[in-house]
Amino acid sequence: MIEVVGLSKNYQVRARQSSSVWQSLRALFSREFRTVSALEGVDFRVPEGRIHGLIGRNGSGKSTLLKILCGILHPSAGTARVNGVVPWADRHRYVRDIGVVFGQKSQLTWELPAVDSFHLHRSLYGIEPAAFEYMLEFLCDAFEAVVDRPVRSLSLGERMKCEIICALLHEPKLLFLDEPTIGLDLVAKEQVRRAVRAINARLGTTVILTSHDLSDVTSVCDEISLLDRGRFLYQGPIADLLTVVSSRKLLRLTLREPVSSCRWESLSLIPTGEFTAEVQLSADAFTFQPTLQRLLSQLPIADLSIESLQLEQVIGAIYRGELDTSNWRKAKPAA
Amino acid sequence: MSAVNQTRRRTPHFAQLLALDLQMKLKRALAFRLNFAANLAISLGYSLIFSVFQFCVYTGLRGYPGWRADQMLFFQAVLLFWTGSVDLLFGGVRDYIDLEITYGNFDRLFVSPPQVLVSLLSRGTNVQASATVLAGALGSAVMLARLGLHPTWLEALSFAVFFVAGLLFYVALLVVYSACTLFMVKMERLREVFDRVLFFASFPADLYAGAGKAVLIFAFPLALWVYLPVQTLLGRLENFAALAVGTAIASFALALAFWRRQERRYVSAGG
Repeated sequence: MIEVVGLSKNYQVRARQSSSVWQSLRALFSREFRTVSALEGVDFRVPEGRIHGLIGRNGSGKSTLLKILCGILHPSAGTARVNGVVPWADRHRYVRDIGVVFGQKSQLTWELPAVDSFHLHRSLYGIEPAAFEYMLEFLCDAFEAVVDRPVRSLSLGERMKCEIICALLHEPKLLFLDEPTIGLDLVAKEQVRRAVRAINARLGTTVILTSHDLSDVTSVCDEISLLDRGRFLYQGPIADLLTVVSSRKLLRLTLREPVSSCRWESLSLIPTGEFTAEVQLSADAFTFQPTLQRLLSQLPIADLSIESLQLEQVIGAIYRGELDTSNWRKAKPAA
Repeated sequence: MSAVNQTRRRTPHFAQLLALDLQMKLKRALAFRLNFAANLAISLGYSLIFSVFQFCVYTGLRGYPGWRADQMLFFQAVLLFWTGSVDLLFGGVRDYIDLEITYGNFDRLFVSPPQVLVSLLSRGTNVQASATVLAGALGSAVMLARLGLHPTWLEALSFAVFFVAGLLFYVALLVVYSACTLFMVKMERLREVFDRVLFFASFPADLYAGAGKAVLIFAFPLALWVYLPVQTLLGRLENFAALAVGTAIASFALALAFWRRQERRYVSAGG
């Protein structure tokens, strides 16, 4: 379905030394540019029918990758084939088989009921009326959506459901969802997630989902790719990451002496205050107890709590380079 | 479950896209009826004010060389029809691209089946200009009758060819404007320059002496919009005026090439 090899994208951006008026005036006559690498030779593979999560911090390259895969941007190097087509080279043919929802960019006409935008979509894609009615009914049921009220009077959750319905009316093989749950309440989020799973199960639509909400990813996706500074830090089943989560414990320590004066060579303490720190330990039955005993004997501990790690903390640790991911499926295309 | 994918689907052509956009704009306008009625009247009022202004200029200058008052009124009626038509079909294109590029929504056109430029040019219809088109068409018909003109088939065809070539030249300028917006993002005062240049077409080309007139007919054929179609119906078309049609076609081809170059370099805004 999606095969990406060595994809890179560089942007030329203005190099600004400062935000002074003098600099702005100088920029009228001479501008210096620097090259920013948004993607650095990434490989990416998603088989047909999967729901794949793309996660990463702001500026990690998610949107750039998505826009290249949608045919909006041309890459600086590398190749990509989606449904057997190079997206940017044969955009006209390609876009018929994809649906795209940009969470912060609407495709619906604000003043009219969503169903009017759906009919416009039908004309743009040349969908047969009977097939259109069939899909509309199926999608409205799946999303429990309100489509006959002006979009401006819909709640954000209702509007987002209509956006996704609109992107699915032509029954695309591949659906890109860029932050579809941004700003939604818990109920609306759950409705969207349930509907995405239903669409995937009933229509076999491959879904690429980007989100900053990890609960979206864990509840919907089969696999994830973790992108940072234009490179994949991890690619693989979500279950593998959850195994890591369950295999590590977080110790919150309150010390009798300032953290800066304490030394413990075996593990790195992460200071969270002058006298408080955190440390992650493997929950492995063979190492956990001895490590904990050494910790208790070597550090001036006033108080201590042991918690299970959250997925967010694991991912945060990966970003900070505190977690060795070399044994995982780091940056390998998912099988 | 793949009812949609079983049939081969066809992308609507440009005229269909324009019609679809007009339908949507009409629906949107009718969702706020009072505002629509007010805008319709104001749009017509503005167009008529210009005709009155030009008539004042005409009388103040004691007439334009070679133009009688009734011929001038005919020119103004065709001008009204032209400005209304252009506004109806493409009046919102510049606003559309300015807004979409600034706020990063232009990406949407890249994931829609029609070509990006076709999508762009078909999303700027302005249904409120329909009143101006009707007023212009009616005024032109009345003045044709008052002047006692009975155009031959050839003259009518020639009028249509100049009018369509004029539209093509206007679209070429719009394409250049849009391509510039892709890399400049903010056009602001350049947009004013665009409007001021187009203003030259609002007067008969006879007003511009020697080289100026030749430029307006052959090099930068703004005369295609009103002057040449009116001259055709008045039966006094200049020699070689048909060359203006060739210039319009060449301009369109160049504008397309420029657009394709800029489209490839498009850098989307934001995340």
